[in-house]
Amino acid sequence: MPMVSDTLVSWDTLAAGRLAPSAFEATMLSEGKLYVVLGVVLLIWVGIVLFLLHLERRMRLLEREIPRLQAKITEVEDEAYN
Amino acid sequence: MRAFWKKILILWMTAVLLAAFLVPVPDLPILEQTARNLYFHVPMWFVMVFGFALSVFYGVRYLVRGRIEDDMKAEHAARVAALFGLLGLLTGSLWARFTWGAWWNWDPKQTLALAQLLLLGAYFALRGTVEEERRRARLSAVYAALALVTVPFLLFIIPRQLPSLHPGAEGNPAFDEITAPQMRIVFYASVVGFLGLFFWLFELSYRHGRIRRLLEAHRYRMQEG
Amino acid sequence: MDLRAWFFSVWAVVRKEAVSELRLRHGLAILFLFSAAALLVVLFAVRGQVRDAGLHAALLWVVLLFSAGNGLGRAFVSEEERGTVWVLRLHAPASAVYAGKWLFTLWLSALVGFASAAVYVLLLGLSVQRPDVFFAVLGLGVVGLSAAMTLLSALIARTAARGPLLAVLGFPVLIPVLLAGARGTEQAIRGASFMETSPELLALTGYAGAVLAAAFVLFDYVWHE
Repeated sequence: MPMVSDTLVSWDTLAAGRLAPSAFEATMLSEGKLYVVLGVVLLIWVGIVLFLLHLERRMRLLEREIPRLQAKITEVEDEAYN
Repeated sequence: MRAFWKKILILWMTAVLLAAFLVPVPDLPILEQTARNLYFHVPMWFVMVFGFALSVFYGVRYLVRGRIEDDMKAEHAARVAALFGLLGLLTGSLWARFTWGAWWNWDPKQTLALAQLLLLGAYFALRGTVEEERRRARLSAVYAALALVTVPFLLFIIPRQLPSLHPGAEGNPAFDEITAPQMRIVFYASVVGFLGLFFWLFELSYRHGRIRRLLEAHRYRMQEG
Repeated sequence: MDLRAWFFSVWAVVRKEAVSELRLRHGLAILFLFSAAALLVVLFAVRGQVRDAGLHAALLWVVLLFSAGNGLGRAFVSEEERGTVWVLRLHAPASAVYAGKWLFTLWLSALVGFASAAVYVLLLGLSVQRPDVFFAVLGLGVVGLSAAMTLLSALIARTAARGPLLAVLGFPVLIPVLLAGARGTEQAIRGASFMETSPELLALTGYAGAVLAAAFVLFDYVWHE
């Protein structure tokens, strides 16, 4: 179980380069870790967009039914007139 | 104008985004600029809990009044709540990697969020197994209410068993210390903004559900005669 | 309906359960065999090498959860399968049905729970410093476990998919019992007094009370169409 001090140590080793950070880690830790904030904002944005795309797709499936329904309705109405 | 609040919301969120990056934050070790994540990560959790509670509210109202609309609202509120819960978990994981040192830390709040997502997952699993509309509505409302009853115990138990890395726990600066007054304003504005976003997504999702149900009823009638 | 008649129907349900459980389904034997199997797997894996009280406690509660999930969850499913559900629905008020089913489940799970705990402790030569605290934690945990499982079983009986769904629905709801139970058991093994384990005991008591109260209200909606 990570204690508070342990994680601080692991952060230290990461930041001090003793663990040789990868390019991704180096980017994330630069500029006062501002890119971490960028990552968080992007994650939220992508999440919301994916949700909207999912809705969009399901709406399209529904819309595809409308012409068929309309055709049916006119058919029924025609029969009623004749 | 019926969707006036949505225009306000767009402006509001734009202002929140600008303020989130432009308003200076106190320079703290380890946190550094990631203190700004307070505006983005923490509201996810707020919104998930709110959405979950709203879903249970609609579920119970279905049990009391028996209107199928309430059940649909419960379903869609839970859906959007799950989206925000997932985002809270992911953003928290990224933030934790570069401040606490690991993607997953078994922090009480992480564990709690995971437990609540499991509850939401079980809720959808239950909904998926019941064909008949009324029965599905009743059973899922009962399960959601039972789930809500157990949440306070999670809140009580989990923090006692795991050491916390979140603000306020020992060895960490408390919320008060890391939040300069100007940060608080932006934070609360952001919570309001994300709640607004929740309602927008919830409304869209619910409207879609209602149209689908109407079309299905029509299709059924057409087949009949 | 007056109280005496209510208690009479509760007792009738308990007796009916006992008779059908013991005579028709060999339920008891299956339940015991299942927990024995779960227990054996854990005992083989541990083989006296584990010294950590916390790990022992967690393993014990996993065994309890498995037995509960597989044996106890069938309280209503078999009823629905045999069609006797209508007899019960006509002759007893919903609350009495729940109370009766719960009492029988409680009796069964206490039996299985205490038996597997005893076997676990004896076969591993575990020295429990405070058996009284140990059994108090176990007993309270079993009350909460059976209360939740009885309601969930009624719920599952109404769905199409029965087997795996119970675990999916049960686990997230039972997390508080498992965590508080494992923690309390660990402390009892280490020799903590009632005072020291009071948070866990309190949580387990509160959980059992809250779930029972909720179940009595909610059961009506599951029971009647």
